Amino acid sequence: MEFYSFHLMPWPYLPPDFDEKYSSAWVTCPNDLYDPERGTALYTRYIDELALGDELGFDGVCVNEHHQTAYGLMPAPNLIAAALVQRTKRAKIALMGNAVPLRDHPLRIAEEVAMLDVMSGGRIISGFVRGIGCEYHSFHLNPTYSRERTEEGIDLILRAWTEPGPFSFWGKHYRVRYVNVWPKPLQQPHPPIWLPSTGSVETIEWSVQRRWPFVRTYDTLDAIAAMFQCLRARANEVGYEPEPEQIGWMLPIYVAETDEKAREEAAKHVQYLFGWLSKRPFEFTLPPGYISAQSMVRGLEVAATKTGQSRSYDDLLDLGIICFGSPETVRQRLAAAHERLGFGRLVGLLHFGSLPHELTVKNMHLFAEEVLPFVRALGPARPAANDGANGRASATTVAAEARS
Amino acid sequence: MSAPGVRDERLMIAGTRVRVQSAGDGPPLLYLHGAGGVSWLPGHTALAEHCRLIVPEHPNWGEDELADGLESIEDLVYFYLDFLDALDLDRIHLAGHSLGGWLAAEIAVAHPERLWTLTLIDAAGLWLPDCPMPDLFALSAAETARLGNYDPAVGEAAIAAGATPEARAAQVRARAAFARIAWNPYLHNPRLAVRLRRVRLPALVVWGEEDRIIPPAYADEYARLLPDARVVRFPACGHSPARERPAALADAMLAFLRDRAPASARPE
Repeated sequence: MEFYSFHLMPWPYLPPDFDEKYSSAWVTCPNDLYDPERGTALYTRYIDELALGDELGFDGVCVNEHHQTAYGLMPAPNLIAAALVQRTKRAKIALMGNAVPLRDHPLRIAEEVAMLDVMSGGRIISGFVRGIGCEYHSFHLNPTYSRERTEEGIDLILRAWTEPGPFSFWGKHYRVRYVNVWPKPLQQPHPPIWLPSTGSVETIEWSVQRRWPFVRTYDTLDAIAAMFQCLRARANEVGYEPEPEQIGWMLPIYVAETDEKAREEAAKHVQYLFGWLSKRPFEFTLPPGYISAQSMVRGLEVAATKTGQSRSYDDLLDLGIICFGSPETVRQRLAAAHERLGFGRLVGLLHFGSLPHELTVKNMHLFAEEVLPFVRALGPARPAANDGANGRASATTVAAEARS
Repeated sequence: MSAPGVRDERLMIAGTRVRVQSAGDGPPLLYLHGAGGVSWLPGHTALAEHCRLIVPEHPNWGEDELADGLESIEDLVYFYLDFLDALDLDRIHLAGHSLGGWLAAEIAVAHPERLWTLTLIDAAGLWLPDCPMPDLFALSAAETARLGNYDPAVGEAAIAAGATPEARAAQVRARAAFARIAWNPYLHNPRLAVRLRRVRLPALVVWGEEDRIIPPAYADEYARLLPDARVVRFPACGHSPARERPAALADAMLAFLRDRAPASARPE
């Protein structure tokens, strides 16, 4: 089992009256709430926290891309990755990922990722994403072309990395007479590709067809189980059994001395992530044509039932959206989830929301010492096709066995 | 669902299946609906008493998948030229509401010889930086209904009618089709303003004075740019006169057609 730590680099200083005064932390959240002087200290701190993952022996550290939002301060993930190339020695640097269709020219991604790969001695994992719906508002880009532009852009990038240049590329959205990127990536034939996803059926289909790892961002355990089952079923239809490494799971993780201490120290900081930082109208999240008509209708139906209240700490725990507690609790929960989900890559948000630096560092150390050796020992799991409700009880047994 | 006495057909036009509603006799009047989708409104019934009123649903608006080749306002212009040919309509009166008004203006610019008259009803298509249209893509269906209708009761009725699963699915399809055509540039064509000089036809510009989706400043701008335009404004009316002022809309349009259409194309 591989373990990666992921940092969203959120803005932790939203004002106390944020919820009353502002309808969104995305797109229209006024940027006078951002203070560049505090921002300087924050980047320094966040890059330190990412670099610490390398010192603690994590397999990799992850960055990502969001725009015009307090949720994450990495509109250009490749810039943070370039800083991490200098600050890390061994860990992989996973771009989770570059939002391909947001670029007018995908060759900029081909060039920048190739530069990073060469500069880092081949430590880059190149995730590709579409960007969430909000980005299409922020960049005023037509969301009905999101999927087409992503597919075509990835196609262009991969060909630019693997085919001898110069050659010509004539697509619908990108038309380039001379494709001839300098430098080419160090890893051959190209850096590993990941598909981080908030869970669209179409992304599963890409993962199945191209066998690129599908990394699902946090959600309820039930939703994640259903999605991974869907991936396995589709892979079986195509004619193969996905390796565990094709399935990744990303969630906030917090380890403290006891369950109660975890709650005391981290509850309000993770609720800042799921409350204020995630606040935005439905229309920002899912602009028209961004997902299929059927998925959009389902999304509207779910939205119609929402109360506007963010979830309580207990709900986040019980639904498996986060994994917080004592080392033993976290080990057991991860083992249970592993048996149920069968992931081969775990991506932990060891910083989240407004978690202060000292607690982040404490969390990372406790995780590295008390949980990581256990996670590494989790073998391949082959979840039953019929995902029963009694998964947790039997998983506890497995956890106990794995520790002995 | 169509009104009694309305023919409701599915036609294949240039490889694309479209729904076409029509009623009445007399000179053909093609009515192009707005972004929200097609419906047969009270204003249509009033017009169909004097004209052969043809109300197509734009291609893509009723479909789950957006078709290749119908991706811009220009593609829709060519689609409607095919539509006129397929229905053997050499010349028509053309009217359009909102996004359909923008489309009507584009058709008039491209092929004025296919039209007797042009009627723009709270039409999109232009952009006034000092008076921007609000971002409908950032609003829910309910927020749009409240913004679009002057009479709150009309808005609430539209919201109630839109709460069924079928209506929700129709909204989702219409919004995707709308976004494909009009996301950016938002609901306008930056080239249209300089091209409107080509519309040397009698034109009627009809507007709700309380339109908060496309404010009445756009009526003035169309009147300024069209060589031969008459403007009629309805007080206490929002973005959809066909919904809020159906009789007044039909009266204004019929008066204009009787006054300005050639004798052979004049409604009774």
